[in-house]
Parts: sequence; structure tokens; C-alpha cells
Amino acid sequence: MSTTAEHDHAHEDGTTHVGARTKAPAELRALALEAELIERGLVSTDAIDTVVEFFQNEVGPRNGARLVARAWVEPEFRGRLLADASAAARELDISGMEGDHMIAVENTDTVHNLVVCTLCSCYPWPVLGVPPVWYKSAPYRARAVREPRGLLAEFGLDVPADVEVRVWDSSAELRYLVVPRRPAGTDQLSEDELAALVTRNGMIGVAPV
Amino acid sequence: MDGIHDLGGMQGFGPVEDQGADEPPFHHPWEGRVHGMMISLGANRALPGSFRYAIERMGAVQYLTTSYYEHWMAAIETLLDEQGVVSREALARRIEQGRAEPEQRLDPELAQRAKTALTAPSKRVWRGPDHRFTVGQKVRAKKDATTHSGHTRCPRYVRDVVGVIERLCPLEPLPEGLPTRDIQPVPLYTVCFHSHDLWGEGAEDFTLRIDLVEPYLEEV
Repeated sequence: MSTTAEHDHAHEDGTTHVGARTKAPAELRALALEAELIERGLVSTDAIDTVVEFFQNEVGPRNGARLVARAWVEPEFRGRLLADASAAARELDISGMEGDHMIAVENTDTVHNLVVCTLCSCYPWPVLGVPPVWYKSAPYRARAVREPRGLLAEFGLDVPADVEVRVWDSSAELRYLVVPRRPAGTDQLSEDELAALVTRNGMIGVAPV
Repeated sequence: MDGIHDLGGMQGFGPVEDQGADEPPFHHPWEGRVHGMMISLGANRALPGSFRYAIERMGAVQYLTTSYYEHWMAAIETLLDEQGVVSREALARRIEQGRAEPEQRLDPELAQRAKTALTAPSKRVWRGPDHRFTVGQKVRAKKDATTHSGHTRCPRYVRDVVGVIERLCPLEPLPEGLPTRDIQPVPLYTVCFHSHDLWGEGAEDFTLRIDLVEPYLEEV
């Protein structure tokens, strides 16, 4: 038994001191789970590190932004993206788990798209990374399919009454990516500069770009 | 099951709180470890059954008062316990005994398989019956799409509501069979509903698309 165990003691609020640090029950459970699975050879430190590193540094909304910017500057690519987003993403070496059946939905003068997963928190990892906390939260999942206009207004996005709000509840294995409208006055910008304008929230549908 | 996870349309949860564009993917190191364990276990085929259904079987109060990665951890614990791989008691004992510090174990081959799982496209295509409904056809999401306490992907808020088939999608396994690994590929559709049909004439004006498998739908 490790010597630190002698210093551990449970508190009434559920936290436990291990050595000098206080660990929340969730953190302790995760550590215990990893320790157990390591001992049984079912996971490895480097495999877990690889996954963490991947989501922290290699994948995220920049990938989706590259697709959107390419679609803005290349009409033929836009066509391919709207026809089969996963195939178009592979052209830019973007693919992987939660992205095998991606569908790009385009905002226009008459349609504004909004993506949600009411039953869990499905999200197109290869183009957006892992979802933000708000996307996974109960209020978003509850309200997006009942009062999307009110929700969008809280995000600072007032969608005019003559623009159709189109909500996508990704309840099966299809994953949705919103292609925002290209902002006015960006004709002189390069593809990279355009990509820098595109936000995660824009590609979920709660921001204009 | 009509569980607490089926949140669409519920009221009373308050505002949505956006932490901004700089929000990190993981808010605590342990969240990243949980994500890594889930992917690594998957790469080792050590999480059979339905991960989502394992989350859905959390208690309702626990579900609402814990975070996303706590849901994942609960699902991993449930699936491993049910297979007899790691019991809940063994994990509780570890914490009690202060043995919750993982040793380092390296397995570059598993790390590579985890990375491949995250980045490689899948070419899997499900074969099965042809689509029975056609684009433009009116359908109703069955009122009794879920009479069982098992896994389903037909949320409450569309049941007994009429919509229009908008797109025929590639087949997917019937969610109901996934917890027992009973793979039955069935046709999938994107179905379009109007907000007034879902929530009444007083509701906001919008349209909603949702992907539903054929067994959840009936002709109108």
C-alpha cells in the first residue's frame, strides 16, 4: 500500500485529500478507473495521451473553417461539400470518428440553420473537435427544438421573421455542419484570411459566421 | 425509454451559458483521461453494447446533476461491470485504499490504433431492406415508437406528429438492437416537421429536421 493512503481521508462534502491536493470525486474515480484498466492491460498511458493530444492540438473548429472558406472561394468545392461533406472533407485530409456521414447545410438569404442533438451530444468531431459545454447542456438541448429564435436572440442573433429557421436534431449517425454566409466586404481576403473569420458557433448555427 | 436524457422541448432549465471561443476541449485533466479511456477501450473492443444506452440508464437525478464526462465515466463503469471485467466494488475499493494513482504503461501499438480510430474514414456500408417511403411522402412518427424501457432514438417530442420525408439516408442498425449487439440494418430518413405541428399554433415559426429509422414511422 502506498504511504499516501495513510494521509487520505474522506470529507463530508465528498472530497478526499490525497497528499497535499484535494481531488473531486470525479477526478478520483477517473484515476481509479485508469489505474484499474492499466493494471488489466486494457488501456495504456500513451494511448490515452494520444487521444488527449489529438483533441487539444490536432482537431477543432479550424478544420471546419477550412472547409467553409474553401466553399466560399471555390464554387465547385461548395457543390461537392453540399453534396457529400465527408467526401469533400477528405479532399483536405479531414476524416475520422463521428465524421463518416457528415452533411453540410448552407445558410442563405432565406434559411438559417441550427444544429442540436437533443438525446445526447452528437457532434462532427473531425471538423469541430469536441463540443463546448453549452452544446452539451440541458438548456440548449431542451430549447433548440422548441424556441430556437428566442435562443438565437440570446446568442445575439436576431433572425428576421421572413428567414426560415431550420433546426437539425442529429438523432442518428448523420452529423451536421452549418456553412455560414460569407460576410459582405470580404472579396479581397485570401482563403486563409476567410477561414480565420469562421467560428465554431457559426458552424453550429448560433453565430452569423 | 422515456428517460431524462430525452430533453428536446422540456422547459425550466434556464439560459444557455456560452464560455466563449477560447473554451478548452477538456476543463480538467481527468476529462481528457476519460475521453482517452473510452477511445482506447473501443480500439480494444472492450466496450461492447451501447455506450449511449449505458448513459441513459443513469438515474434521472444523477444525470442532471453530473457533467458530460461524468456521464461517460458512468457508462464505462456500467459496461465494464456488466461484462464482469471491472466491478464497481473493485473501483470503490481502490479509492478507499488510496490506490487511485495509475502506473505508467506504454503500448505504442494501441496508441496507434486509437489514433487511427479517430482519424481514418470508415467504409462500412449497411445492407438491408429498401426504403419503403419516398421523398415528399407524409409520415407520422409512431405514438408507440417506444413502449419499451430499452434504447431508442425516437425522441418524445416528435411522436404522434406528422412530417414529410425529405431525404432517404443510408441504412443504419436499429438502435433498439444495439445494447444486445443485435445488428438489424434498417432504412433511415430525414423527416421535416413544422413547429406548429410539434408545439401548437402559438409556437415560434420554424421547421425541424430529424433523422428517424423506418420502424419509427407510419404512413398517414
